[in-house]
Amino acid sequence: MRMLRQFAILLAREVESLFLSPLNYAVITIALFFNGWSFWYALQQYQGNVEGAVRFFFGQSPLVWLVIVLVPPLLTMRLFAEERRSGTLEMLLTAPVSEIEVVLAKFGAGLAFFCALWLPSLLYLAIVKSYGAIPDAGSLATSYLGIFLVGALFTAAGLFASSLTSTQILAAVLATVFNLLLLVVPLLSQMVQIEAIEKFFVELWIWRHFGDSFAKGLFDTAHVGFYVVLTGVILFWTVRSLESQRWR
Amino acid sequence: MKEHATFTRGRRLAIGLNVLFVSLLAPLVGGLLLYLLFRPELRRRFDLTSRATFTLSERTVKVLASLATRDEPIDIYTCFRPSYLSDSGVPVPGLEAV
Repeated sequence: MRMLRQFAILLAREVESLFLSPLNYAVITIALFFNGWSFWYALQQYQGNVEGAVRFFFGQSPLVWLVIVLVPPLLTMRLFAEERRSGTLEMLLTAPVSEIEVVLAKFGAGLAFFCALWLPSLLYLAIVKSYGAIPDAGSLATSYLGIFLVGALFTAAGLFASSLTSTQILAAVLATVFNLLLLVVPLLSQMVQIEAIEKFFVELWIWRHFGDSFAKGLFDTAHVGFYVVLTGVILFWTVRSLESQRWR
Repeated sequence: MKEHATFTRGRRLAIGLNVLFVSLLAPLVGGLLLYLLFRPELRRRFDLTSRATFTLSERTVKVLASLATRDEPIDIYTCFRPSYLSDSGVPVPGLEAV
């Protein structure tokens, strides 16, 4: 009970600092512009086929993936790096809270902000619905779940990068490179022409896990587990990285 | 009385090695979990599309069940679209050559 209360206090502190940061509103504005443009483009391309447009918007649109890849590092870059630079990380670590609570609170806040970024996309669907086109509710639900899970993975990666350095920009660059590697390496591995390497990287390809289930309207426990396990491993590394402050 | 440092270099090294070992162990445990999750016996799929687009119809299931009881060999013809992309636009490994 005490742990939960401490976690709630930490979470509220992090959420407040994220939602009060002007930089994050600049990020959200750019992301909304890209999302809106992408949805408009999808509707144009599919000439009124709402189902196809929605599937393109969530699963294939490069602009939407750009938002998914770039926004979490920008949101999380300051979470640990800024605390380390300003010297408040020592205070936080010497307070009667565990590293796990600190990491989970920062992760929860980052993910909450990422989810808030996607709320306006419900408006696009409401507009489309007002014209009489009804998108498939099941596909929509799995697409949002997919975006939530990818967002969680990238938020964890951003948090881990932020725990490694005291420079915000370096943290953002590290996390972006990691996210891009998860997207691009499987494509590059096909050039190697070695089946085992190709297979290994294709298994790790987050776009494939997204496109093969969530974007289609399928809820697949294996694909959900893939994102949850990867996020868990990265969060575990973040806790270890934070713990290392005590003995380094 | 002489004081002895408890947080020695050796101790720091031991903690560091422990952290390194545990950090390397985590992806291995994750890999094992993923292996289990992708096993067909544990994997569950739910088609949430309103028209059950990715679910076999009852008739198809009946046809497939009847095939299992046949003794003579069955010829199977598969048709591929001239694309190695899946419905969601993701390349399917192994179909590039088709």
